[in-house]
Amino acid sequence: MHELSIAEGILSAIEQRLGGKKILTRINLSIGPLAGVSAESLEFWFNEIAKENGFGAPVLEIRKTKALAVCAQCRNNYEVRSFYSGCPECGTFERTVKSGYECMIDSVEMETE
Amino acid sequence: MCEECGCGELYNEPEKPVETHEHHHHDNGHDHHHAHHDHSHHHEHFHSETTAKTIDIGLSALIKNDDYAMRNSQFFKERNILAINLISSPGSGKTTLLEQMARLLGRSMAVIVGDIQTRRDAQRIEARGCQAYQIETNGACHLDAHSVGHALEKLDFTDVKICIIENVGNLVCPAAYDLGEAFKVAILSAPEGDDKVLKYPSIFSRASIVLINKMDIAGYLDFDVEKVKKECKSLNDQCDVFLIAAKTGLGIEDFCQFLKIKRAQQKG
Repeated sequence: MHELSIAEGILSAIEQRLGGKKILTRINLSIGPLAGVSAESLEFWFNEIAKENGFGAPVLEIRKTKALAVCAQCRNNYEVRSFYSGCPECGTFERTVKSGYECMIDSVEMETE
Repeated sequence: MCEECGCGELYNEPEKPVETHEHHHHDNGHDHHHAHHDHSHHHEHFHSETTAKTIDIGLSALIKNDDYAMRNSQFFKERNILAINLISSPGSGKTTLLEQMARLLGRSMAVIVGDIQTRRDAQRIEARGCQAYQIETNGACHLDAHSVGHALEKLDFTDVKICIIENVGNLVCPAAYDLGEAFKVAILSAPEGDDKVLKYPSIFSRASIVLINKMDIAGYLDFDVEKVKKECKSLNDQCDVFLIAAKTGLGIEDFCQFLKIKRAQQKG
């Protein structure tokens, strides 16, 4: 459900950065597996609100990033495949998560004359 | 001015440095499909001189919330207040816990409470002699930093040392929104079942403290405390787990003491 307010947050961040509403053709996002954001749900809400808010009908391009962590025990760098899987080398759960919580607007595209 | 409602005593619109890098690439004669729910339509563009321009944004989708959260955090730090974001399912005992805490902490605690509707929770907490401000979200499933910032304007923080933000009862959405708190506290009550930690990882991985509530009746339920502790640690090995019974008061003094220590550490 909170994907609706994330979609609104995306448009408002873009508006803030561009200094106003612009007709966009594409929005490039990257979402980590730990962000708690459903890409499908976000896309649904985004399509609902982008046009009526004056941004045209941009394609939402979602790049799914990886969650990376460093094991606190053996210092192994590994990909966190689920919240409850430990280090593939030694099995320990203690780790520093380096990435995976992000939901980033990387760039937007628009057509110009 | 506050952008949402123009009331703006506390809020000045955060200033963002605008550094855009523009890339131009000619992309003539492309065609693309859009799928919209139950139908799709097909456009073809053959512009002779259109240029696609890419502008780097590099902002979090929640940047606006995060900006407000930073200001709330600043508000708490300036006043040396420890702020907690309290998250759990409906009916797990958030307000009962706060009633017990109000008994021990009195006017040194203030509560901001979010619900879809009614002022019931704020009234219960006020009845115990503690300041409370109710945010009625009118449908929103979580609190955001902007609404919390406005709530901060409504309370008198002169004698307040601990501010609890009681989120809307929900284990999913509130986890994603930073409200400017020092840390998140999650409650799992025994009747909800001992399998919930891994089922709702976004909150249990981000909570610094998990309170297992309703321990007074846990003996009547198939609730494995050790399993919950182990699974909490598997999501966040820094997590502290407390066993409480908000109804009887079990463990509440220890939890309040813990918060006082945390506040002292925040000061240092």
